[in-house]
Amino acid sequence: MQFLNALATWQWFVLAAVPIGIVLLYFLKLKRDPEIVSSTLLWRRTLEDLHVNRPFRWLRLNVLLILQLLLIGLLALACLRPAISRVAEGTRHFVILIDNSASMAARDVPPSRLEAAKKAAIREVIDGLMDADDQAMVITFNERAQVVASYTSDKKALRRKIRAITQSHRRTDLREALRIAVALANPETVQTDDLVLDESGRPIAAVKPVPAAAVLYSDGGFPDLPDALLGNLELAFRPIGTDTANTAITTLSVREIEGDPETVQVFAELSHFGSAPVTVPVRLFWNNTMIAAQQIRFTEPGQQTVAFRVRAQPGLVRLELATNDSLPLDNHAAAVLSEPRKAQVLLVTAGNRWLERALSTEEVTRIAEVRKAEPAELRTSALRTQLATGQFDLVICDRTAPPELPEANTLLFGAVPPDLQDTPGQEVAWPRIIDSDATHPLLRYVNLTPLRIAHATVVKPPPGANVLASAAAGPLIWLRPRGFYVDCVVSFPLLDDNGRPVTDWPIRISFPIFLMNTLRLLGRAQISVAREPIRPGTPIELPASRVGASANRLLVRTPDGTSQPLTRLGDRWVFARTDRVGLYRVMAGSEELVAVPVALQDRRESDVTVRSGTRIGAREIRASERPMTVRRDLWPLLAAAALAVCLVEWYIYNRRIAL
Amino acid sequence: MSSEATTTRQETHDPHGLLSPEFLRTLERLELVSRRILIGRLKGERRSRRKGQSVEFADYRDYVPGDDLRFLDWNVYGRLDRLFLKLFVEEEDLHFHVLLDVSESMGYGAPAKLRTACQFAAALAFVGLIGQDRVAVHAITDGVVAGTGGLRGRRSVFRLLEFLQGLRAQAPGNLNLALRRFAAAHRTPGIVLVLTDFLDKHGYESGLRYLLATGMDVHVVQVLAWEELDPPLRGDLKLVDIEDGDEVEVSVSAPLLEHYRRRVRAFCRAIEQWCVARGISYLLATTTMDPEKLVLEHFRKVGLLR
Repeated sequence: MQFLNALATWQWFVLAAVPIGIVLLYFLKLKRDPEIVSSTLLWRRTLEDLHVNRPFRWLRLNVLLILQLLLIGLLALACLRPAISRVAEGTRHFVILIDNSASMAARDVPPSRLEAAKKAAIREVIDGLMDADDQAMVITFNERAQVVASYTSDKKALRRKIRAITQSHRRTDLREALRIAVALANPETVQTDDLVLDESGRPIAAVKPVPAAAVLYSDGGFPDLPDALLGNLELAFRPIGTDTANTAITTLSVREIEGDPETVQVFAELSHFGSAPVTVPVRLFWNNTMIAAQQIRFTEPGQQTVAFRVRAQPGLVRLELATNDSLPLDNHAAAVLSEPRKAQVLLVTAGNRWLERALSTEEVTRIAEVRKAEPAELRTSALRTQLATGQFDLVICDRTAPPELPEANTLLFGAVPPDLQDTPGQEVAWPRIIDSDATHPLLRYVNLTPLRIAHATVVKPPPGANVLASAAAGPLIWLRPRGFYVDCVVSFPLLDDNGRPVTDWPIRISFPIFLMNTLRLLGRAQISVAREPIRPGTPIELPASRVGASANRLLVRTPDGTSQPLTRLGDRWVFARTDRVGLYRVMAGSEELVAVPVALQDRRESDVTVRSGTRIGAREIRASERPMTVRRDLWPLLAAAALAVCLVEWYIYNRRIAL
Repeated sequence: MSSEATTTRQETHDPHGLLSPEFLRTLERLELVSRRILIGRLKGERRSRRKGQSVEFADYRDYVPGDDLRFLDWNVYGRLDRLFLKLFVEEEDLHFHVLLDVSESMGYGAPAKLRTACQFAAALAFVGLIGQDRVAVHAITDGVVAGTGGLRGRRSVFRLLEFLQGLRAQAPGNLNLALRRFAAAHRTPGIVLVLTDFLDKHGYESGLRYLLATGMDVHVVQVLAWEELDPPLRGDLKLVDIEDGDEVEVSVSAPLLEHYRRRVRAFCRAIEQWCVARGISYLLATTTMDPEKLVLEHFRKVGLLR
């Protein structure tokens, strides 16, 4: 029984005073007309007979009072707007919500929680509750919701589709699934941009409000949704699973070690869920060869970290918890160490000894391959094709700009990108850098304040640009994002056309550091490329420049052995269906371009504790609640009952049936 | 006797309207009969169970000293040489008492119950007077509050009627007490006619027992008003007892009235059964009934009138 208060407090007080008033009125004696009779002997005996013979005499004597109090009570109850949850009549609509997130792979209910949920849904809703006229739809949800079956009364099809639900390794988010169910039950809440699509991409028509009952089969591994509105949707929660323990790798990362380019540090955070103490052997594999192991003991639920030093050599670094807990899929996490990748740099200059020297140091050659070109070469078709097809990571231009923007990041000294050539520039003599963004990675360890600059051409950067250093006259160094790429503009040249220095920056320590930062960031140069695991559902993205123009079809070899194509979206290749944990290998023909490890890395999913209830909107949804009911307001019934009581009271008063 | 009746025929009409002249003429042909032979004070027209001085021989008994020698049967003495006393059936007059309840409840009803009771009293007393019986009418409440004293003969009819007309319902009654007091004061057997409504919270049984104990031939007429049998009451009422002021609050409903009517019938039937079981004749008279018809039919049937 649910109640909604319809009266203010003072109105309740007034209502409460009414029955008291009625009772007080009954204490007043009824004024009776005196009537002389010959004797009261027989009257007394008659009344005594009645008193003795009639059962419930008190009730009969006070039947009017009781009826009046009942009337007031019914009205007060009606003001409370009571409602009952009861089984709806006519065609009923059921929404079966099945959680197929990673935590549902837990084996505490053999073979898995998902299988148990599917069986329970078929048994309870399809076989149990549905009549021939009733309709049901099936929605699975992890962090995304998918309508597995639209409203249908075909039980056979529903059973088949429920059985076909597969396990995903994504995290849990009930919100979208709930929105679909609520939108079908309350179409007025559906916005036009909020249309729900079924599995084939067609919008699910929500033409009329269909009060529906949703049964949620989940282990409750999702946060409460206090701001959700259920409306006509009656939600019942069926927790799946038992309380069980689990240990998980919740973070895996690979870090370079400063000053030791030959070694990387594999760092992992382990989480334990469960009250019993447990010792977990942690093993580290490099290309399936165990290279390190540790024992980690958990005496209570919580997190511990573990770190290994590994030689920075290409291969698959895999961390494994050698434990047989209820959720195996979070016991593995891998990272891929690949060959150090050198940045492909094109230096376009008519001759600049400072730049050439700075780009030919040992440090730079270790991380970058620098090719030099004259400005005139930019006009040649060969170089233009290379620039247009993303052959370079970074193009450094000295006092010149390419005729069109290349498919690469650019660093321009004393020039502006070709699309900004028409922007008027302001010649400034001896500008002083008064502000610089030391937090930007390009200016890491770079101090620009003592620079002396003879002259600069200050151009107003376009909107969205990020100013790294500015003088009083305007920005001197700024970044301009351009799609997948970034243009970095330095407003002053290092040398003038006569070869004389314009600034003392090249002789300061900050200049090579700035160039190294630029090569690492804009040239994407890495000493050791460690691809850390991504979470299930995170798309794999590859810039088209990395793949090469010739490739027109890339395949992903997924952990379950199938090959699926990548989709080209503009300047990148994307694969979004990273549903399962494991290693995804991006193949161009027979050549492996990149291997991407996917690991669960989610504390909430690894926490396989089963929740007995959840809060959705204003309602506390308990596991024991009866499903398949709709809210039925009782106040019209109560008002009708009050009217009936009033009529009965009137009738009795007139008939004087009671003494 | 017949000549006296003829001469007084003109006098015996009821100027107060209690009895119609035709009824009086009918009554003149009747006489009171006791179911028992009763002892009266004077020698009257009745056979008495007391052996006494009359011409009708009844029995012999042994002589005991002190007996009147005039009644010795000398013939038997001559034959048997034993003294026997001759006993004769004594002819005596009949004592007829009318006990008329004049408690306040008898004033209830339209017409009042008291008037109906007076009609009965007048009719039967008239028969008694005509028959030369000794008639006494006593108005009782919780004792005898008024009485005619002993009346006899047609000449007393007017006095009787005047007395009856002068009666008014008065103080609260106590039938038991009144009958007991009457029984204590009147030890002579006779006929007693009790006219009451029996609506007395003290009951009636012990009083009637006292009367029976005197050996009297008891007749009872219960007089009820039609308003008591079928009360014309509606609504929420406070019923006030006319005698003791007792109040009863009722909300009159059809079921209540039905129950009351059943109660009244049961009450009357209980009195009747009690009386019949003890040889008392019982008559229920209501104010709507014709008293003349009742007198002629009922009292002839029970043998009081002949």
